[in-house]
Amino acid sequence: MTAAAQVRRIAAITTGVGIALAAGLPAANATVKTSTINDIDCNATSVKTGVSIVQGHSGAFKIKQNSSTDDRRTDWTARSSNGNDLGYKHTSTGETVTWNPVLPSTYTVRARKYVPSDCSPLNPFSDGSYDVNYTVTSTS
Amino acid sequence: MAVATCALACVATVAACGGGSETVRLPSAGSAMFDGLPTAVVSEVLENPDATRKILEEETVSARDSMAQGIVINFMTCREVAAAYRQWVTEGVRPHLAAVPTVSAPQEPSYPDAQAIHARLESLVASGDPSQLEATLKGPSSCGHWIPARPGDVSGPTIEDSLEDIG
Repeated sequence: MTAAAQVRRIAAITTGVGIALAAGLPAANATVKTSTINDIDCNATSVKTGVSIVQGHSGAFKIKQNSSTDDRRTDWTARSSNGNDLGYKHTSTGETVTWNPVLPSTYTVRARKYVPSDCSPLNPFSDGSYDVNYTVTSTS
Repeated sequence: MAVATCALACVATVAACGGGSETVRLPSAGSAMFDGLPTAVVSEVLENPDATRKILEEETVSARDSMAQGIVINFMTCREVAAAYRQWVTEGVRPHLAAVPTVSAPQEPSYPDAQAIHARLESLVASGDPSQLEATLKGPSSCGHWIPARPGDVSGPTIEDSLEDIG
């Protein structure tokens, strides 16, 4: 490779890294899963279970709320395979919550509505439910 | 205590039946998944309200079995690491950690996770710095945050509480 080609290659890599950072893309040592949790009860403290993901090393564990029915806010946690909870943090659509450091284990995402309320006031038989799409990022 | 545990299990059963799905029950102390684990710790976990809630909140039988086995090993490991940490800090004796108990029916994913956690703990001990063990025992996502310091003392101090005087 000529010196000029090397300069172009380094420039391309640098630009790529810059784009990745600007876009908020995960680092190479991250595992990412995107999924949807359906039918989260609006007026209950019950918790719905999402995907399971491996946290391979101690480090950051993130959940981003990509979208939700009527932009409802969500209370998030995750539980390790031996019962340790991360503690609840809440998001609106577009927001990310981060726990750090999170110890290695397999974690299952858990969600409930942030502040229980009646999402279906015209229905006397139900307080309604909502769906949330999210992306979880672990340190692999 | 046993009455409280039974009541919790019954509530979970009714809720599940009301939804028309499977009946949700705690595994029994005699389940094969507990073979190889200390009977006293198994009984303690099956009577601990936090532990039983976490087991019953799992959505499938296999997930409940894995969580139950994982929590029993977690109780054992967390207390052992806490004792080792205390001795290391107060007496300067680098600890030796016991191996993960061998079970006849290892559950996925909790048993492989327990082995990985043990390997990580051994590497932290090998670092020579006792503070490396703190994150395992202290903080909201740690085992020490919710596991009782004394077996069966569910309203007493957690392992994290019991370490407030050191570190």
